Amino acid sequence: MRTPRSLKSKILLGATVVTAGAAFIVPTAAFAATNDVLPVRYERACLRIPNLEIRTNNLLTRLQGDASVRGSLAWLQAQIDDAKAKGRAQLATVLENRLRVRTQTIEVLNVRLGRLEKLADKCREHGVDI
Amino acid sequence: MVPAQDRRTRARTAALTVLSVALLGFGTVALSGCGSSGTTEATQPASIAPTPTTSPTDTADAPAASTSTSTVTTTTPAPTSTAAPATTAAQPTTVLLTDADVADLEKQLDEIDQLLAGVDADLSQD
Repeated sequence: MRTPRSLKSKILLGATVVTAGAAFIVPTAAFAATNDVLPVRYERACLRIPNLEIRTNNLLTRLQGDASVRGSLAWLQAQIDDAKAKGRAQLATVLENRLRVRTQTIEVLNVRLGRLEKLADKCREHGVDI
Repeated sequence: MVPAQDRRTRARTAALTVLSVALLGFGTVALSGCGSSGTTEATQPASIAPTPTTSPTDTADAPAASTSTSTVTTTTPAPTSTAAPATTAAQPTTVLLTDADVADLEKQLDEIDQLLAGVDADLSQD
């Protein structure tokens, strides 16, 4: 008669302690982990910027190259002229459309390059060394 | 069993039961508020390496967290210098970094990455 009640009391006491511990420890741990991860994520993202700038500059250089640079606007224009000279109208049209797209691509890349520079500045303001 | 002992045992059991239920309720509320790591990550700002030149207004143009309801601000006092005027030394430097800041940066970089991949693919046609 007495032993089961004593056991019940001990179980209740144990449950109380475990619940109280979980209530205080778990949220604190989650908060600390979050504040640790966020700066690391930010720094990781910032460190992507230099390579994106290099790739963007390389593409701009290629697109703005002379007629000897494969893929440049000048090279594409030469291909268009050649296709027209050979009477290949459809190919010339396709290449002209490609040239229009590529001309706009240069503008888009320049805008993105400016945005990358601003993002890099912001990263530096937050102490990320890039 | 003696009636007096029985009453004491019952009273103790009842008190422990009430205490357990109360703490269980508190624990449930606390865990539902902050326990989920995904929810917490989306709402809790953090700071990263504040620099003395950064002003508090730098965080003003950052996009607001869509689900953020509270803000944690980490304030770091500006480095004290004997040569610096007292007015600048007293100004704290606050750099706030939210999950929205990081997500926005990652999104912009992903977008540029995709654009560059698209241009690469376009050039590979030639």
